[in-house]
Amino acid sequence: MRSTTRGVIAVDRITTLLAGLVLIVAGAGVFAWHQGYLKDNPFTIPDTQITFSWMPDLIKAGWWPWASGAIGVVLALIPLIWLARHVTGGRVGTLTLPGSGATGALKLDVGAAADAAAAELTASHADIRSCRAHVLADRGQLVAVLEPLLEPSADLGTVQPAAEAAAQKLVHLVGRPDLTYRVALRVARGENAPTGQRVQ
Amino acid sequence: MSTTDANAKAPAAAPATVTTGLLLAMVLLAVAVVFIHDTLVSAGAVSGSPWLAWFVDKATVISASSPWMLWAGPTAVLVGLVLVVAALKPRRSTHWAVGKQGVFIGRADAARLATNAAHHSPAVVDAQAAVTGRNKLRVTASTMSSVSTDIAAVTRQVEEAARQRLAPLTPGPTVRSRVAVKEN
Repeated sequence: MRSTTRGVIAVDRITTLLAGLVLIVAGAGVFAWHQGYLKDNPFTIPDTQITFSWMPDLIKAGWWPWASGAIGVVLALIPLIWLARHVTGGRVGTLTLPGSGATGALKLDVGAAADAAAAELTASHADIRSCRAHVLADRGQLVAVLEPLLEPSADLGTVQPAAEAAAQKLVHLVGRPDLTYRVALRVARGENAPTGQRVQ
Repeated sequence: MSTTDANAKAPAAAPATVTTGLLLAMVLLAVAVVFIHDTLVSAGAVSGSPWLAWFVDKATVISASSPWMLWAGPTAVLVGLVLVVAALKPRRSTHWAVGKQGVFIGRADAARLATNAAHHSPAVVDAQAAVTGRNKLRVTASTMSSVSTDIAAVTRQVEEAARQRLAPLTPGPTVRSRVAVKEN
């Protein structure tokens, strides 16, 4: 489950909202102007045509190529950073633990801790075929995510407490007071082994 | 060592604005390409004529009688409305809660469990469950005329099997089933 960080989501929402509002206002304005509804407007918009006479002079100026290049680089960097933030997501690799200070930092490879928790959960329950685990920065929370893959015949009544205990153990092990957990159960499309061979 | 008791937020689909945000980023990138192209043309690094000059030629004088305004204005308003709705739309929930402590299951995954449960009903020879609403599940099953012709009984069996399998879901989805009898 890939997660997009809260900041990126906020930027997406705000830019989308602004772009939408600009299009609505500009579209309505263009249509109203075309239909002649703006004849008595308070903004003294000309009835028949608008002339941007400064534009040809602007692109003929000696400094324009430099300005054009600078604008182009800035306009390219912003979306590239924006796109990169979407791709990288909110996955957390290492966490600083309580007790870190000016004299030293305690860091934990949470990816390895999550993998160990996933392996332990897989081994502990016959209905769990495999499990993925990672730590995410998700919607303002630091979340340990476990994603067990269940057999289609799995008994949720026994899987749920086992998965919950594994997630709580991982959170306790990491020891960060702001770490929460989420277990997202998945179910395989087909049975892996004959039901008769399963541990009952 | 104390850890928080706060539960993580429930899983949710990516907001619609991820798509629109990516599209807007691509638009911005395309505009950047135009500016950089013109700089390279001015520097003699690439051949051709400046693209901005063409735009300036078209945009220096805008006439109110231009026919494109008749369709471009309403189109822009419609696209703008779509963007505003996308920006304000909350994220769609994709999972059902299992218990009360941060365990969830995808709706399609729950349907697979229900399919399996229905398959194990004595009279059922084939079954398929599908999510039909925010909190609804429909199981379509079939039985053979040689096994049972009591559709109502098989329907009850199928619904009960699916409900029992999904009993830990809180709240549990409404399960409905439809059973067809196949001739031998």
